[in-house]
Amino acid sequence: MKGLLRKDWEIIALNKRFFLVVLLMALFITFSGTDATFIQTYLAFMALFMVLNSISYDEMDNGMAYLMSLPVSRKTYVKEKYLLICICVGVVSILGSVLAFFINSTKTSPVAIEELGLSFLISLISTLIFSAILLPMVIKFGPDKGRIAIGIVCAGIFGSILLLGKLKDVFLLKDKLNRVDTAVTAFVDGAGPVVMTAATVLICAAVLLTSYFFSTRIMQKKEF
Amino acid sequence: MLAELIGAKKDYGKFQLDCSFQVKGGSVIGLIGANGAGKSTTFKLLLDLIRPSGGEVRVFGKNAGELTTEEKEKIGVVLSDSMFSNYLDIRAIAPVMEGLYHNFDKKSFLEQCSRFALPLDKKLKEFSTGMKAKLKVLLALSHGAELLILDEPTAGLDVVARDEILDLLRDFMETEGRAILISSHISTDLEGLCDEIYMIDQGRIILKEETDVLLDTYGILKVDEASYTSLDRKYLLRVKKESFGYRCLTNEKNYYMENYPKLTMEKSSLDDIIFMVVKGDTL
Repeated sequence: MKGLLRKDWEIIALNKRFFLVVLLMALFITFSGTDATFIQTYLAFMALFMVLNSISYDEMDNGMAYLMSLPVSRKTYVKEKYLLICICVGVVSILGSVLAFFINSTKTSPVAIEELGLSFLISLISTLIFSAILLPMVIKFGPDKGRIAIGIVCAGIFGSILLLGKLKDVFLLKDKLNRVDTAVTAFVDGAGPVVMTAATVLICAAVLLTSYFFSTRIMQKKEF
Repeated sequence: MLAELIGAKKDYGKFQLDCSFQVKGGSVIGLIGANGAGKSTTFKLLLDLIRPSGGEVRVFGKNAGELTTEEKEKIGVVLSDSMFSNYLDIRAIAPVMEGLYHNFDKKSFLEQCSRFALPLDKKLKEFSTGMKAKLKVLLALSHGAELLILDEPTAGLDVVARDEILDLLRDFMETEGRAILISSHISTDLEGLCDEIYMIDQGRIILKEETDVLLDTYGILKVDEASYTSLDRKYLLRVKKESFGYRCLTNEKNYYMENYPKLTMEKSSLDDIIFMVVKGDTL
């Protein structure tokens, strides 16, 4: 796995100027806007796309055939991508939060530290859940078709939420959804930072492990 | 046995592969055939890039799909249409190889790259076809492999570079127990390197022979219509109608030279044999 991580580090480093531009844009938007938490989510998602980009480079010019002929198992290849996502998204989220903290302190109406902390956890969890959905699709369909599949899934999720909203008055869903909403709000309000962090870690781990299981199955069946 | 295909099959609809061959330690096996004959499919089966639909594919005595990463380190690979990302340079590739292979000799690899005039800081997308070909072979030779699986390793190389690469492959074989499976369209490369030649056509092995026997006992008879009528055809493998009469491939050149001294017998190259085996008619 060391070799694969080194390869992907070299690939990611190729785009350092692009990411510098992305960072500067994020800083500009965050400074000029009212919400200092924007940069946390923005950078976390950029880190995710950095890793997905590395799969594009692997697949380019039929490169996967050569990679799979090296002393690398298909399982290790998948494991390395998940590890890379955790490292990149984790590090960049922390960087984003540090930047958000300093930018927040320059605002005339800064948000509370607790809100920055909560925003960090939400951006981390949402990025990792998005990774967990994206990675198996990109591995299965390749980067180009994977993007189309991602669009279809996002449309499906969004459509389902809209449909749920329309149907909540039907089948007595409204009361049940309100009860769930109340329970979640009560948990978030009542839980301290330790509980929230632990809950985030558990949810991310469960989602990523499930996604990893599917990605490995997909990769084992692929032919190059 | 370092590698073998035992009735290995792969079905691609219009194309079906069904072949068997062996690569023993100490041998250099050449696989030759036209484009689309099944050479790359065979290599991909050995490297577990594709799964057989029947038969067995064994490397180091194990099913090709069950090799550990340590066992895969003993295989050096050149693929005709695939390698590291074109956006990497040799300086970036070397530490990647260090992380993948316990026995990767970085110093020697970089020295060989310099010897073959490969720039260390240029991205692979800026390399010529010949430079990429050299790099692929050097990578395959850089980590103490026991088995080389080389799909068209000399494609795109000039005659001097080809000779240098073939010398490296001969040096590789100096160590006992090693083996090479190599495919090439440049039959002169195979003639000078291989112990045994397998010819593949439409997914099937159509000829298997030691290189020395191929070059010493195979020949091309050129006969007119009248001579062909009275010719003993017992040792004719393939026949092709030509404007002058018939071109015939035989594996008993000496028999015809002794019994038909007036007939034109040409020493056949590997290319001539391939042409006749593929294009000629069986009797």
